[in-house]
Amino acid sequence: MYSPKFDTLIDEFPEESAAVSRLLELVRDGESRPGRKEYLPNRLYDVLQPSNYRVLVQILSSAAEKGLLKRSFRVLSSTGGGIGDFDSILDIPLEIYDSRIGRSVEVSQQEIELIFVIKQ
Amino acid sequence: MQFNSLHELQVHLQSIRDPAERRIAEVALFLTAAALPQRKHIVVLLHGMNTNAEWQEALADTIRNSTNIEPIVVGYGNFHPVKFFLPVFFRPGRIKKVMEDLRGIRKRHPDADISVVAHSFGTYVLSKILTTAMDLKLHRILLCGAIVDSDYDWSTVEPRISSPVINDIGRWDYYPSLAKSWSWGYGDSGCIGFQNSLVRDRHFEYGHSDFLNVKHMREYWLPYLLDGRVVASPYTVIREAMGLKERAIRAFSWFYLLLIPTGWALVHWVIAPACRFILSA
Amino acid sequence: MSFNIVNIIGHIRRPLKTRPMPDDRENQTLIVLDLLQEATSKEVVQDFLRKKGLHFSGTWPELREKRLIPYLNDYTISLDELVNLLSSAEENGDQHIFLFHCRPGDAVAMMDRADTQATLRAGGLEHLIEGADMGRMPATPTIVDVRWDSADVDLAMVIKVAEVRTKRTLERERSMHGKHVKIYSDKQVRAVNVAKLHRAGFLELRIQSRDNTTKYDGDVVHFMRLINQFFPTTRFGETSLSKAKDTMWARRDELRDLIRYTDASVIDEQGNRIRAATGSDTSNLSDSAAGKSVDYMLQEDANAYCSDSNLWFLKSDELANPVHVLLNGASNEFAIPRKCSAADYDYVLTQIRHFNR
Repeated sequence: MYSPKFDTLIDEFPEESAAVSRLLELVRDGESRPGRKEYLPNRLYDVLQPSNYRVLVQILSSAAEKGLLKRSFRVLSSTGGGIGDFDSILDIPLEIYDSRIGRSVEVSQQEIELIFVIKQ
Repeated sequence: MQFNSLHELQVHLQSIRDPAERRIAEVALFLTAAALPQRKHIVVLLHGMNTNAEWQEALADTIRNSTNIEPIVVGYGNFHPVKFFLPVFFRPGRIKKVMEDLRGIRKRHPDADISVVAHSFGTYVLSKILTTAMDLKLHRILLCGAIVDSDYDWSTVEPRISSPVINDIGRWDYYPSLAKSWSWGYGDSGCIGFQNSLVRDRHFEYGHSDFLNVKHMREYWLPYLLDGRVVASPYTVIREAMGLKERAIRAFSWFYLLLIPTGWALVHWVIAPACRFILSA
Repeated sequence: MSFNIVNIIGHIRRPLKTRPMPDDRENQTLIVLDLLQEATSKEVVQDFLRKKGLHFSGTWPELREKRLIPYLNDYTISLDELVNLLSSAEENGDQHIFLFHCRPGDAVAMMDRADTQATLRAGGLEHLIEGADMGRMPATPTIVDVRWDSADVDLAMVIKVAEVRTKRTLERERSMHGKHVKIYSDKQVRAVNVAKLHRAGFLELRIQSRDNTTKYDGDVVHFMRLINQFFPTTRFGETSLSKAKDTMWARRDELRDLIRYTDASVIDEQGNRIRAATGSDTSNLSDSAAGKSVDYMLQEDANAYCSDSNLWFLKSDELANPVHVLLNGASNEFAIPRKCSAADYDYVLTQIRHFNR
C-alpha cells in the first residue's frame, strides 16, 4: 500500500535511493500478505545492499521513526525462541521469566536480538 | 560494542541524553562494523562577502568536535560591496584564488571526499568554479543565501558530485534579489530556489545569514555532510507564497531605473515630434 | 602463559624474517614448547612431525619429552622450525573470521612493498621490516609482523597484531550471610589477530576467539582502525556468506563425503525458527527427518533462509584433520573454534569461498 512516508524516506537518503527502494519494496510486499514479518539487521543488510553499515543504521532508524518499520529488542531463551519483546534496551529487566524453560534467567547482551517488524 | 552486563549497557545508553541519538545508538550496537573508519572526508567552508566569517570557525569547531570530518576554511579576503556589484574587475581574481585552493586540497588529499558549504558570494564563486574546473570532483555541496542564477545548469556538474545539492533558502533573505536586480551575473536562487531535480531546495524562516548558527548547522547540515541524509525543513511545506508587492520590490532593478529616462527621451524626442508632424500634415 | 615468561623470549630468530636469538637455548626451547602448547593443538604438532617422517604419537607431555626435546637435541628438527610452527599455529584456527572484498587493482596497490615499508617507517615500526616481533605481550594492540606470501609475485600480505586479553576463570563460589558470591581470577594472556589481503581482492580478518562472547563487532572495528593505514577500510565491502550457507545446506547429501552437519537453523519471515541438531556431535543431519524439516521450511517459505550452521569438514586427502566450522554471527563471518594447521585452514576457506560464488 502506498504511503507518502515512502517518498519522504527516499528524499531523505538520495545517495542510497536503490537501497531505500529495496526496503520499500520489502515493506510493501510484507504489508500485502497476512501475518507479521520480521527481519534481523544482518538479513536486511543482505537484502537492501546499502553502501555500508553506518548508513543502514540511519535508514532503518529513520524508517522506524516514520512508522514504516517497528523496531524491537527481543530477549531470547536458551532454547532459541523469544521470551520478551521491548521497545528499548532500557525497558529490558535484568532478570526475566523464561517461559520456554520455566524459570527466571539473568539477561545479558548476548541474549538480546534486534528485529525490525513490518506490520500488516 | 560489548558490555559485561545488561546493567552496564543500560547505564551507557542512559548517558546519551538526546532520545533520537540514543535510539540510533541502540540500533548501532547490533549492526556489525557500523563504526568502521570511513573514507577521509574534508569539508571546505566558503564565506560570503564583507564578513569575518565567524560562522566558518563555529561550523569547523562543531564538525571537528562531533565527527571525524576535517573542516578547512577557505576565504578570498574581505570583498567590499562596491567590488561585489562591479562585475568585471574584481570577481575573477577571487574565483581563481578559491579554485587554486580547491585544487591544492585535492592534490594533497587525492583519496578524500571533498564537500563544500558556501554562503552568499561564496556560492557564486563555487558556481563559476564548477563550470570551468572540469577536473574538480566534489562530494556534497550545500548552499545558503545563494546568489547563483536559478537557471544554473546543474546537469553539467552532476557527473562530478556524489549527491544532490542542498540549497537552503531564507524566506526573509532579500540579498539575492538585490544582487540580481542591481548587478550583473548574480541570481536569486537563495530566494526562490533552483526548482531542479538535481537540487533540494529547503526553505526556512530566516534572513540572509540566519543559517549561520550552530543549532541549524547541527540539525540540518551535519546529517547531510556526514551521511548524505537530507533532513526536511518543516517550513518548506507551510510557507506562504510571496505577495505581488513583495515580488515587485524584489524584481525592481536598475533596468527599470534606466527605462524611465529612456522612455521619457523616446517620447519627448521621437514619438511626440512624429505625432505633431503627422497631425500637421 | 604469564607476562613475565613471554617477555623473556625477546626476539626469536626465524629464517630470513626474525631477529637474533638470545643465548640460552635450553630455556628458549622450553618457552617455545610452552607457547606451542598454549597456542595450538596436539594434532597440529603431530601433523608437523608426521610430515617430516618422524614419530608423532603420544599425549602432550609425551610429545614434549619423548619426541620434540630429543629431536631438538639431536638436531633432527631445529628451534627455528618450531618457532615457525608456533607462528603458523597462532594464526590458524580458534578464530572468528570476517571476509571482505575489494577490487584486485586496489589489493595489488595496497600490497606494494615500498609503500608498506614507508608506512612502517612513518609509524615508528621500521623494525618490522627486518623481522617479526615474536612473543610480545604489548600493553595495547600492536602490529608485530608484516610479511608477504610470494611466488613469482606477491600473492598475499599479512599483518599480525598481538594484544593482551584478560582471561577470567571461576575459582570458587561461596555462600555467606544470605548472599552467594562467585570469585573469579583474571589472568593476562596473549591474543593474536591477523589480516591477510589476497592479490585476488579479498581480505580475511581473523580475530582470536574469546571465552566470554560470540560477538566480535567491536574487535573488528578496533582491528580495522589499527590497520587502516595499510588497508583503508573504505576500499572494502563485506562479503556476505549467505550463499555459502544456503548452497552447502541444500547440497549436503551430495557433499556428505566433504561436510557433516550437526546443527542447522532456518528463520522464516515471521521470525519463526527451526533448529535441527544431531543427538550426538559425531552424527550427521544428512538423510535425517530433522534435516528434512529444515528443507520443508525453506521450500514452503521463499523468504526463509539459513541463519546458522554448525558443520565439520571431513578428513580427506586434502584435509589432514576434520575441521569444525560455525557459520553464524555477522553476514560475513565464520568461526573455526579449534586450532588447525595453515594448510587445513586454507582448505576450509577455499571451500567456503567456492560455495559462496
